[in-house]
Amino acid sequence: MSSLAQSSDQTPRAPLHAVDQSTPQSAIIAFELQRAANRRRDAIVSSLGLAIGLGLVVWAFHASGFSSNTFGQDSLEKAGQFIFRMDPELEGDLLFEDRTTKGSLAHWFARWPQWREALIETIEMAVVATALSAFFGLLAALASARTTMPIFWVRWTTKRLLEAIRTFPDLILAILLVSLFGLGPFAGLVTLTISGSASLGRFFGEVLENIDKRPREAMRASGAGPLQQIRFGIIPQTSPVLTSMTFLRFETCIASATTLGIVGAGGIGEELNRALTYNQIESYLAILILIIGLIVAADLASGVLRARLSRERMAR
Amino acid sequence: MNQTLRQDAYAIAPDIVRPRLIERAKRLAPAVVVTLIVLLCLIDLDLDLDRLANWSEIAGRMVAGLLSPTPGDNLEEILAALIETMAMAIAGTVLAVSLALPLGIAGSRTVISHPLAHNGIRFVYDLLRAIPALIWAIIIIRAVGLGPVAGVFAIGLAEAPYIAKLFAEYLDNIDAKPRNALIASGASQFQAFRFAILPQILPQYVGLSLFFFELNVRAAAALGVVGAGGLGVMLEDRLGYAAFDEVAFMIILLLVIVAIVDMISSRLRQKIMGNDQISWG
Repeated sequence: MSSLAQSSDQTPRAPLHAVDQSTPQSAIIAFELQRAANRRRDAIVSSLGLAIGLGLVVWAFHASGFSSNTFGQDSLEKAGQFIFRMDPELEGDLLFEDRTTKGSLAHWFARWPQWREALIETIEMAVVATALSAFFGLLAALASARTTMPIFWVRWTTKRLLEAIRTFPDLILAILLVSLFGLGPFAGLVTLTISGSASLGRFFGEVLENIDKRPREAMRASGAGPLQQIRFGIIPQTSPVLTSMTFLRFETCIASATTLGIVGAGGIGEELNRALTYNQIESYLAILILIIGLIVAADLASGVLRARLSRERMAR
Repeated sequence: MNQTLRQDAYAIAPDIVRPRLIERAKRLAPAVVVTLIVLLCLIDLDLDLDRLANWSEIAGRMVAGLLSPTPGDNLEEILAALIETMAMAIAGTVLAVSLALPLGIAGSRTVISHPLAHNGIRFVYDLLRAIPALIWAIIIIRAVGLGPVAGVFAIGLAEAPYIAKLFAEYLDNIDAKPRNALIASGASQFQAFRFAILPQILPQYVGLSLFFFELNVRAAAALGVVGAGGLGVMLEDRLGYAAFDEVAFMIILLLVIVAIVDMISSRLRQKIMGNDQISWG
């Protein structure tokens, strides 16, 4: 338990000379007494911490309503019912019949045309938002990195601003923007762009602060201006990493875009909401499968591209 | 650049000074393709900008409201909702990490070593990881009704496979040497676990929990928007009445709380884990 070990390292010990150390035996006794005292204190500190932690956890479950009457036996039953109703009742021999036959795949996915549109909208939102985030993120990073922005207060303000935006959950930003721009993908696009820019701005900024300074100094020595130094001394060595981060952001963006529709900000989430509102629980399962498929596919695609990028970088 | 200098450079390295057309096209191709894809997506999105024409009026009211934050008459309710959000975050984290402990152990190569079983388990975790907490929340609300209980379960179920994966990867990489040394010097299996394995695992596990707790304060606030308890419920409600000044108050409150939690938690993590932190993917 390194936490114990560390706490005893940091606490000052009682002076050893308080005990008679004239003979080896008494020195050993003094040492053992000291050790026992330290261990006792560590035990008290850690059991106090544990008690406070446990109390906090018990309180948290109590305050979240786990002890109230509304949550009890019948919720398990309701959960069971819900899962049971998600079953599309497929029948083996009717699986490939047309959509009018109950029990066929086509019947289950009868609303596939609408869902396809919604899926495409989700992907498009994520693609455009990622591209815009990369652009604004780069601007923010240039304004917040020590290597590219010499003015302290600009760096400071940009960094604090990015931090403030990052603490914002996407969904809360989305409900604000939906009430501003109305229902539809525009609010979702702006949400994803704002949160993406803040996130990429921070990561890009870290990359720009950790560059190899030599190419840039060579540029400066040969008379390049500040913008030329950034363009030819900084961007070339960082662009593979920045691209890779952008692809990573795309994965997050897709996952986020699937849920934004729940508050009306466009994409497949809207269909999910509709299925729930109209109590079409088997449609809900179908859309859920589509969402998981989309997220996994986006992760795989971006993973392949990123692997290729890093291989190219190695080859160079 | 000096003209004669340029000519000299061209004589030495013609391909660098004036790259061949194919080379140039090859270098530009990815950028062009990406730009085209993005433009196509933007056009196909059909953003319906006409409808945005009257947004400036709402924006005016919104900005005015956001610039004058006030708790209104609901200060007590807001504080109660905030405390509920914190409770949800703590309970959700506890649920997630307790579920993740057995899942993580099952997902470790050192425990289940058969490659097919191991990869199968990891694949299931990856699939489950793809379900956002919000979608869990909507399902669970159906089962347990509106309220923070649904939020706690949503956080727990959504994050457990995530934490399990990180934890399993960590278990794969623990140092076996201290354990072997203890066994060789006559320690029992339990003693070897207690003094060689546990000290390696525990700080990382606690650190992971704290890290996810930081994320969960935000997540808990967001989950309220679909009715799963906490500040989000209030936020959604006040937004419905266009009470932007109260919304602003809640948002500022949330930002402050998140900042405080992050500060305390990252201090604790630093103390527990030292510099030996897992890289978070």
